[in-house]
Amino acid sequence: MQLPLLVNKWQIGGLLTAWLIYATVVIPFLQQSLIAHVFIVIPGLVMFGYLIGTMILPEPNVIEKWNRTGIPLILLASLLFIFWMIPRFLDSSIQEPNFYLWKIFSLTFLCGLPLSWSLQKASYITFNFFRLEFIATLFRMSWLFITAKDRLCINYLYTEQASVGKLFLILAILFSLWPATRVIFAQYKVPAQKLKQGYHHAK
Amino acid sequence: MRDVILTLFLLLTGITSIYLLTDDFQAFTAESARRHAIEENPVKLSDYQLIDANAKQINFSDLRGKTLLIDFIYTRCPTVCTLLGSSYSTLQDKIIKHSNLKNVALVSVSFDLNYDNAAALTAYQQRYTQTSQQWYMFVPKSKQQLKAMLSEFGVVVIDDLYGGFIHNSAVHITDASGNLVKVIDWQNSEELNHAITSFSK
Repeated sequence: MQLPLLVNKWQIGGLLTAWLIYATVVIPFLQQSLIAHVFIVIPGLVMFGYLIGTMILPEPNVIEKWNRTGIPLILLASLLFIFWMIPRFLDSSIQEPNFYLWKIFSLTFLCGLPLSWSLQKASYITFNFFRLEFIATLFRMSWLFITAKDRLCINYLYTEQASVGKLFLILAILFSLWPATRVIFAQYKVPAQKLKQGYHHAK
Repeated sequence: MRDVILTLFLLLTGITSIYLLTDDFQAFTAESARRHAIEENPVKLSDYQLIDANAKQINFSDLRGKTLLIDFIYTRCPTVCTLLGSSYSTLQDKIIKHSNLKNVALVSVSFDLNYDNAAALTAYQQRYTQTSQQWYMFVPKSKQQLKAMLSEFGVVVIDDLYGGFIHNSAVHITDASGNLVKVIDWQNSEELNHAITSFSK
């Protein structure tokens, strides 16, 4: 996705203000519901980070030197994604102000922003490795949320938790449709004979 | 090369932080974290002002010297609290019969200040037992007292959307000097029995 780099200070200010309003006013309201917390609040913060990275702050040279393949920073984003999928920290971010700030900061600047710098330049294999891992995590989360006998978050109701599990499942299926279709139905451009030759050649 | 270094560094610090923050990969939910923290570091509880089933005001510190099994309830509760109630009456039978369990007491604290009063507490208790011996019913005197109590115990009460409440229900064990030392599932009668005998010595 190619987005224009903003040069107009009003546009830059607008995007940052939107982020600030989202972080201070919209999120406290949204996180009253577990569904909104998981499927709007968290992806929203990542999206703002992504937009900031593409439209305001391209990757600085210092970081570029350490992130040529894109792998390190996609890994950073993945670790934070895993962190915020742990039920305990969702509870903490509701009950403790410091944890709330950490959520805003980490998902915007340590998840969304690095992703915008790295996803574009990641190789085909890197990109799809993380994509499959992401899909697998969605399946794992749906499994956890659907099968849990007790409430995972003490601030939310059990019924909502089951719905979150189902939504995770639907999302996981949607995300895997395209890769699965390609694996099953893709027309291989290279004939099998040629692949074989390449294999012998490589030996 | 730098990419590899940074990748390994992030992987190591990331996994180490998650390991440390989840109490060695043990507590992934707030409830297990709470229980883990209490067992590691018992909580010194404040002195709360409570109203008992006879509408008399008492201080929580008046119960010092006893091992207490505290649960949180609201008397209109249609689900868990009813099971908790019958589990408590079984426990009550047990501690009344055993002469060496005289310093063990059951405590039910209501968090429904708008509805529960001395009469409601008495009615609740009479649904499960004939006698109030070694089973105290309380409602905190004020909203502040309730808030302090819930936060020290780590209990979160939320609205269930049908006019009732949902909360992390469990049995909280306090020792003779008023420290919260352990949290046990009310279904886990084996551990409850063990706790009664071990902490009351």
